[in-house]
Amino acid sequence: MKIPSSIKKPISAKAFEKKFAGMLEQDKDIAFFRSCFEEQDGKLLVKASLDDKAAKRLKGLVKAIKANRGVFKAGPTIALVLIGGGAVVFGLFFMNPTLEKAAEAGLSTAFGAKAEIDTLRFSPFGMRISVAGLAIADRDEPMTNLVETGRLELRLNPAAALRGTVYIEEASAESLAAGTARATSGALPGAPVREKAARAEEEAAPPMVDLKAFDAKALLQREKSRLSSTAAYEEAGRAYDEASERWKARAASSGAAVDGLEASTRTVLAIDAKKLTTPDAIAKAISSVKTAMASVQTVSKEAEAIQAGLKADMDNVARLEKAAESAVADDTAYLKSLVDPSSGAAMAALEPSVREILSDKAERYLYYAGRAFEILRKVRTADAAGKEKDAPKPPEYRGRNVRFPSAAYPGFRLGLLRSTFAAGGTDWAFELRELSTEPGLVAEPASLSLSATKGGSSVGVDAVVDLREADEASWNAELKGSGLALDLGDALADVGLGSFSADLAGSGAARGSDGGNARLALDLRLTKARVGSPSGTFGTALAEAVSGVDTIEASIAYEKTTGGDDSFGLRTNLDDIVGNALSSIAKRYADKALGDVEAAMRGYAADELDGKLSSKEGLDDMFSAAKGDKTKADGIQGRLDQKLKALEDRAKSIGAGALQGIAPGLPSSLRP
Amino acid sequence: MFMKWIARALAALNSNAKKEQIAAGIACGVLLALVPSGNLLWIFLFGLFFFFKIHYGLQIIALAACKLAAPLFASGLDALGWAVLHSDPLQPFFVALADAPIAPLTRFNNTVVMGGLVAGIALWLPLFFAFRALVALYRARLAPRIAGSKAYGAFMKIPLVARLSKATSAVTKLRGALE
Repeated sequence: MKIPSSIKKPISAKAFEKKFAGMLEQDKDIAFFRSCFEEQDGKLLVKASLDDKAAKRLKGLVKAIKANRGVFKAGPTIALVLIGGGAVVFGLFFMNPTLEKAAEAGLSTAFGAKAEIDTLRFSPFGMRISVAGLAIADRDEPMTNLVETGRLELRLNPAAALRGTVYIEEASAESLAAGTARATSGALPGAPVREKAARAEEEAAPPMVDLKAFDAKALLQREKSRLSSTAAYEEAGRAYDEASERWKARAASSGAAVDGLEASTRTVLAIDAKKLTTPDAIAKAISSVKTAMASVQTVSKEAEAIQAGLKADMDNVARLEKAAESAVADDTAYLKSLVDPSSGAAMAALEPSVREILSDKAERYLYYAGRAFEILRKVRTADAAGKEKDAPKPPEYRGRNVRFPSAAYPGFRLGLLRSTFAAGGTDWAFELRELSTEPGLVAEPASLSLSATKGGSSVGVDAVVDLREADEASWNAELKGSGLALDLGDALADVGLGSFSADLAGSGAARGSDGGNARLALDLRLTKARVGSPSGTFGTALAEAVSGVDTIEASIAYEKTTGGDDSFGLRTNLDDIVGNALSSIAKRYADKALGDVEAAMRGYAADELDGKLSSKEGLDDMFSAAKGDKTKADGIQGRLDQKLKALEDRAKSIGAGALQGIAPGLPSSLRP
Repeated sequence: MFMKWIARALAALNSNAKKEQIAAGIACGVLLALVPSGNLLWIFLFGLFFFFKIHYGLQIIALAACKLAAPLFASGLDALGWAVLHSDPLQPFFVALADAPIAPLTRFNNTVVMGGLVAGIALWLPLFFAFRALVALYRARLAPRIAGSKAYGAFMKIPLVARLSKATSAVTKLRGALE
């Protein structure tokens, strides 16, 4: 049996007791251990004559001595070193890809679209993160990036990190861009496709009139679909037709009935009462008269009903006809307004085009502001929802927690994201401050400052998003710009401006609140305005006008309401400027043009509109006929009344007093 | 598993394991039992004791035994922790600790945690010396008498105890190889 090498060397008695014997606890083991050594030259040396059994026992005791020696264990220290080594290996080969995927997943969840991070590197000792590039797709437009950055450098707060929160004290980006195109769709798998809100149908611009080559009839033809008189006359004509149709058959029937009465009552009316000498003859004649009277009354009532119905319909139709005539006057005024330079036509013509140009941009920027606000709210809401869950009350033996005042860290906080870069010859400066999941724990609201400078022009935005009070979440932004080159190209070609350019300066404010409501107000000043290739009276006048004024001012208000229609308002001094410029032209051309318009409208009313009332004459005739029928029926009725009275008188005179005995045979009306 | 710890404990008492290691193991087990688990402080202490040559088996036995009795001490520890956490001279220290990066994860501001820590530290040295003396007393006086008694001989012949004895020797060898 081999003796352990640690006890082979000669050792002094003192050291032997301290290093070996003193490390054993059992007396019999100590005695055995001592017996295994012999003294040689003043030192103790293990005996060479030990048998295998003794050597084996000695070996076990040496192990026990080693176990009892020292305070620290080697095993856990080695394990710690191995764990540290494993952490280093993980850090070198797996940490960055893992963090990259986790960050992409987190951003994708927050933005509702794919987020791509290029080459993330985390330095745990410096608490710094660098990213070669970041692209976050737009949820609503998957083929576009909501934001794309160049190289990103982030510095984390170590204290916050050790508390399990993310506090980016400072971040810088080499470049930032919004709305860049993507090669692949950024929609998340299974994400619902969001319908874009349909834009309200744009109101067509009123036509521009060239006074120098004015053709009133052509203007009337072009505007016919917009004239209200056409529809009003059509309505009145339709009412005439319907009334005529409604009464036609009934009136004809009534007329025929009246004509029939004349024939049927002729015999009765021809009875000569004086020639009747017998009571039977008189009674028979009276009966015939009464029968005829009943028929006449029926026909007379029908004629009266037709007359009253026709009267009511004619009153209604007359009202419509009057409205149609009034519409002709309105249409004439409208057509005149198109050739009257002082009627606001210039602004009315320009507004739709300007609205389209501006509202596109305003909608885009308000969309970005709204999305940013929505994302911030989402992050904050998720945090608040997490806090709403009440922690279970600990059992009594778990103790009580004593609160000490301390700095609380939000789950995520971005202290500062800064970027200054040049792109396309423009110097950009971007600063985003105090973005956090728990804004209530941060002293300042989130803010964004963005500016772009190119040559002598600059644009700046200062925005603040205050989510510290959940019930009063809101955002607002101040905008300013100067020295901007405005070039509308041929966007105003419809109003006779081949091109329009100017220097633009202005300021504005935008604000929004929870729910997506937003409002943008801009005050703009255009100087050095230039119009190219003007055409028509308006275009020519505008070109002359803008070349003669220093400043064109415009106030624009755009409002986006959740669940309601967007509203756009434009106020400018352009109308006055154009009106003044047009006044000289108006002197020469407008009076004649106005006369032409009136004449054209009169001709139109006489030739085309009056023809729509063709049934009017028929209805008048029908009414007259009904009236005549009633009169005829009334005449017959009167004559029958007289005939009845004559017969009654005759009967009385024949039988008065002398007809005793035959009285019972007479009708009751003839009895004395 | 727990039987193995008991076996290791019995083996340790009758082996060459240093009495200081056995006493330290018991004192550390009591300290871990007094501090509620589930916080960074307990994990830190548990990990820290791994690096010292203390008797692990007796530490676990002491921990388990005292843990069962912990609810009995809870109100006392709570009162002690409350008194410590509200001690005026210590307030600046605790406020600074609350603001420190990792300290809040130790739940030092919990009365039972603080009470258990203070009580465990205060008891550590008395327990250490007391158990060191007891182990020495056992080995010098009781163990030879027990080993020489007829009852011990009969007890050691019980199959389960024999297997246990065999296991303890194996464990002791294994421990020696690891340390």
